[in-house]
Amino acid sequence: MVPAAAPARVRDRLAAASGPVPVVHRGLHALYLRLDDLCVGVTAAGATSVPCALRVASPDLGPLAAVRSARVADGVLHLDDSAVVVRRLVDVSVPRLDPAPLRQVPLARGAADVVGAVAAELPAPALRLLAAGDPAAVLLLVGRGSGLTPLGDDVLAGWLALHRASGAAAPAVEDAVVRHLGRTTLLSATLLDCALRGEVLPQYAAVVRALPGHLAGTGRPALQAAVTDLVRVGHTSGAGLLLGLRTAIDHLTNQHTSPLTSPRSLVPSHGGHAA
Amino acid sequence: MSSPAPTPERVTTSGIALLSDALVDQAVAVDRVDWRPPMPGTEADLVTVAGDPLRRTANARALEAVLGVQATLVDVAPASEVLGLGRGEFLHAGPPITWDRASGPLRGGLMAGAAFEGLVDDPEAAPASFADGTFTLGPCHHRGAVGPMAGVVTPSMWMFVLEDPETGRRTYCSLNEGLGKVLRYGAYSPDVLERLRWMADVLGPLLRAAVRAKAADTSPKGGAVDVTGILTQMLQMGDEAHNRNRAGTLMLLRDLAPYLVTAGPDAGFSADDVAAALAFVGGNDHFFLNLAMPACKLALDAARGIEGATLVVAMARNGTDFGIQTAGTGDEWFTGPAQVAEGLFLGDYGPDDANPDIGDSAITETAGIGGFAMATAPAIVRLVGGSVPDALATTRRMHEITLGENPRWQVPVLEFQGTPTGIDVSLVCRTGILPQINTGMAGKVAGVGQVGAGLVTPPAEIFPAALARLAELARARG
Amino acid sequence: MSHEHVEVRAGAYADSVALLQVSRTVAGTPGVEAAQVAMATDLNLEVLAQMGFTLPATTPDAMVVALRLADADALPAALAAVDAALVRRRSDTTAEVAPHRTTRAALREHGGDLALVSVPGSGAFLEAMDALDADRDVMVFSDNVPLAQEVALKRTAAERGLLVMGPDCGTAVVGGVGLGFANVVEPGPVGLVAASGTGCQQLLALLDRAGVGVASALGVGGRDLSAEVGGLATLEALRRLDADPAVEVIVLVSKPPAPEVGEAVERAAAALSTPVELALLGPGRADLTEVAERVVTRLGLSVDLAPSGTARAAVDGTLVRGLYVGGTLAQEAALLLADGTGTTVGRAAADLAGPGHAVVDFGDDELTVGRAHPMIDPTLRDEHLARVLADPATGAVVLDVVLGHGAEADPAAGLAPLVAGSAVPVVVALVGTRGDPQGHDAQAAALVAAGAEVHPSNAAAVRRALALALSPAGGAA
Repeated sequence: MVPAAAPARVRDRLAAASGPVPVVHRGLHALYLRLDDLCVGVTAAGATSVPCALRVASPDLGPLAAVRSARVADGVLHLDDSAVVVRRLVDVSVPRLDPAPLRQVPLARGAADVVGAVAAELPAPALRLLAAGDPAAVLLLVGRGSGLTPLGDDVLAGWLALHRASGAAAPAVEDAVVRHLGRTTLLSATLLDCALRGEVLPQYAAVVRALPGHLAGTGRPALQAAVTDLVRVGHTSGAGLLLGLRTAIDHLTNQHTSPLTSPRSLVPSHGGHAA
Repeated sequence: MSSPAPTPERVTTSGIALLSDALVDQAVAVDRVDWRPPMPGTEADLVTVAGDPLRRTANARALEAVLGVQATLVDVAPASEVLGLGRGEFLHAGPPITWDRASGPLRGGLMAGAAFEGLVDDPEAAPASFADGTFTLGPCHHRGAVGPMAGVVTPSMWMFVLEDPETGRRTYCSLNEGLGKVLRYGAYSPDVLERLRWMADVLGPLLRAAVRAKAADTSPKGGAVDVTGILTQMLQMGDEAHNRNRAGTLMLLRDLAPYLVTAGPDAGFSADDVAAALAFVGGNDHFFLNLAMPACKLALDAARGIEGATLVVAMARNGTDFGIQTAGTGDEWFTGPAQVAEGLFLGDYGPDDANPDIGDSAITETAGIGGFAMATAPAIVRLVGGSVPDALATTRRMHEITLGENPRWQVPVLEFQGTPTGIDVSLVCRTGILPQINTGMAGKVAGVGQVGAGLVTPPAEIFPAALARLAELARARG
Repeated sequence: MSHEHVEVRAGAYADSVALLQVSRTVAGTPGVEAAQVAMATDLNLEVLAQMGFTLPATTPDAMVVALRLADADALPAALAAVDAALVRRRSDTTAEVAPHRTTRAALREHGGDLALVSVPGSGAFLEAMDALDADRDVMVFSDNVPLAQEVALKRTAAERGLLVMGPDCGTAVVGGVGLGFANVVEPGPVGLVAASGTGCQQLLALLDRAGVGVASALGVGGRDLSAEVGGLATLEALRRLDADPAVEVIVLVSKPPAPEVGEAVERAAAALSTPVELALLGPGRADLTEVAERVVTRLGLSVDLAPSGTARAAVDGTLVRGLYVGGTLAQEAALLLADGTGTTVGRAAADLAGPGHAVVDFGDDELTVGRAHPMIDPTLRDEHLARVLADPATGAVVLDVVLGHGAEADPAAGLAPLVAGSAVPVVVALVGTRGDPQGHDAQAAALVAAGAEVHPSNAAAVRRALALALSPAGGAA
């Protein structure tokens, strides 16, 4: 038995599933499985702790990285003969954020360089449109870039999650994202789905958690440390998320937005989109 | 705290295994501590010292002070000049001792010293004058000096002079005579005395000329010899700077040889003298030990007198007693009986021929090298039939009783981890792990010389004694 | 007549230490009287001469092998021993790294986020101080830590903005991670500060039943709100939970504090931006279940306290006997029984055979000397339970089953046969969450199948047991 920590939603999806699950990607530190329309990861301590994964404590996956088969039985994921059992629930929700005093996140030079380089890879109008809350940005960004989590999706996820944190509605963009999820990889579509629900990486949550201190003028070092940690995530994923977060702040500070009456009401159920 | 109650993804556990298992079962990374009861009788003092509000910052200051020192070789000079040592005054290794309690090798070294100074014609005639107090004894440590093995220093012996350029503080050590039948192992035969005379007449003055010429040289290759820098390099070349000093010796030779050649003739020495000096230094793998030791003392002396600090600033043995001093207890020695090393013997010698542990050279372990850096010199562990993993384990074990790591002195095979530095009296008492010392073994009969080399630890009881005093001082401060 | 063999091996080299060892190995070979394998330095040649060997013509760069043998026939074996010793290689070069011996050393190398200390009480202070020295929070599970040491730890922690949970802290949940005896909880809006372990677990279980998640449950140890300690850990825990954006309501569970400490804590609570529900336990105050209901109601939800199963019909006996593993649960049971009957409730193990109602905490220090806590090893309670169930004076038994991390893997398995084999009504307070590793529903089902009535609320279980004991035999259960 391999104990794992997971978000309640991953546990519940496993409980509802049964039978073989295909392995869509495997590496030393992470394994990704297709659970219907959802990409569920098994991540070791050395991997990025995506909000749709079972996290195990070991530094890498060891023999699990080489599994031949995966299946779900009685709500438990089995990798060959090893049962990966959820023994702890992790909170992947983005911290609540008071939108009223929101200000742009200052960047130290290193982070600014990385974020600048990432922005240069994207079509110029995309960020401008996104900062204006224009859903036309979505088609320019979804699936844009290489790898399992294309850069354009990271930017969108960072943007969506900050709106979720501050309780600000962005129905036009959110609807567009839901419509276009099929244009990107399964993992990336899952992460966008997570962002729509306000589910984020711990490093992203840490930046949001550090914002109030920064806004109050007391927590600048804590924010800088959190920003540095976020930028280190993945190849460009962390920088993309940060760029999305900053673009969201531009959006929220430049125009009036109406708060959501029910934070989850605009999010379609997880079964609602093809991947 | 980056977060109010952040999820502990990694937890350090001590005690009940079941509670650690419960964390593993939640996919939390667990580092289990192998906790064991402390040395008997130390519980109350450990709590007092741990609760001393001065301790944490005092130890941090002490460690920082030790690590901040750079030792440079600035001069070579007779002990009479630099230590103010007068005729009939003798220095020795270890804590203070009187002739009647002195061991064979210390007596032999003192007898050789008396003959070398011309105080007696025959070494065998010296004991009476030591016994009646005509000749006086004092520890090297009390004069800013250290001496290997017997550590006997007399006024005419030449000393290395090391200086910390930041503060101008200095420490001193005699010149190394080589292995085998030598004064520091308690030998006093005519060839021993003859070598000592040559060292005073030729080697010392020649080295002085070279050291001064190098120090005065303003070209890039000039300047005082950076002893700390050589230590940094030799620790990555298989030396641990106590029982193995081969690379260090050759680097010193590399630094000094040009100046011996150029400054020697100016000081009135012949090419034969220079050649003899070069051959002597190059042929004595332990020559650098006498620079490593005062460099370590220079570093550790920086931590002396810091109230509340539990760091050990000296470990020294006189062949009878093993003594330690700590940063927070002034000049007080905490002593117990010196132990006999475990190791390998030269020729037909065996354990019965060996004298208990002797010498100030444990200053190297006190500073985090020697036995503490065993991992970088695995050849040494074979002295007791150990293996390479044993060498690595020894250095790792020393990290359990030290306050920090020396970022300059790194061990390549341990992923360039710094050497374990700053022995903490409290940690020794808590873990029962004693400092590991690499050492030579002197014959217990005066005059025999070296009989072997091996590994040794201090007597356990001196650490609880030092702890008790630290606790007493902490209680007095309230 | 001994035989001498001296050979010079030009171009051979080995470290002097290695050669000392080779010499010793070879000297131990049968037939060898003396052996010296060494580089031919002047010193070594001198040693060879002293040993009586004939010195060969050589240079310092060569290796000398000098052997004295009982007779010449021993030579091949001796030379083989020399060669073997010279090429000897250890195979065990990957020895396991020894674990660290202090919390300090482990934190220095691995940088853990938090320390959990459960060493004997006399050693706990040092390990906990190691954590504080490394700027880490610490949970001290150990009991028998002197009060002065607790004060010193908590003062040090307060200076550094750190949290000391304990000493004698049995339960905590920090950011979802259970420490000690803790339940698996869903993330959620409640933050708990608890001076009581099983009290905390009862709240976690009831909140979970109501579908209310918990961000953190920070234990502070039973003495934190005493005048000596001054609530230092409670104040820090309140600050932590207030700063957590996930926490919408804070619940503080404790015995009534020392008056001056109570005031300070109430002042601090009032100054927080998060509302604080103060739950002080004791005679005439709300029980744990009422506290849970208050919190759940505040969040617009409700908790289902209905039991599973129905206890057996009443018997002739009239005494309620409570056998507990949870200290606070036992205390609550004793209070409720005393309140409900107006009699004194016995608390000693001997009182289980006495003439009055009795509630015994088998986790009490006196009953755990030399044995594990009954949540881990239930043997002692099981023995007493068997006796109580066979005693005609017993009218009803109430007992707790506490699930979660650290607790035994299948407590129902041990209890069920005892319960099934008796006619006495048995009421169980099952304290656990749906996520607990023992499987809450399976435990409940096994106990119900054995004939027990299983309540999620301890208070309700106690009241039910009292009603059963007081109702006439053969009457409606």
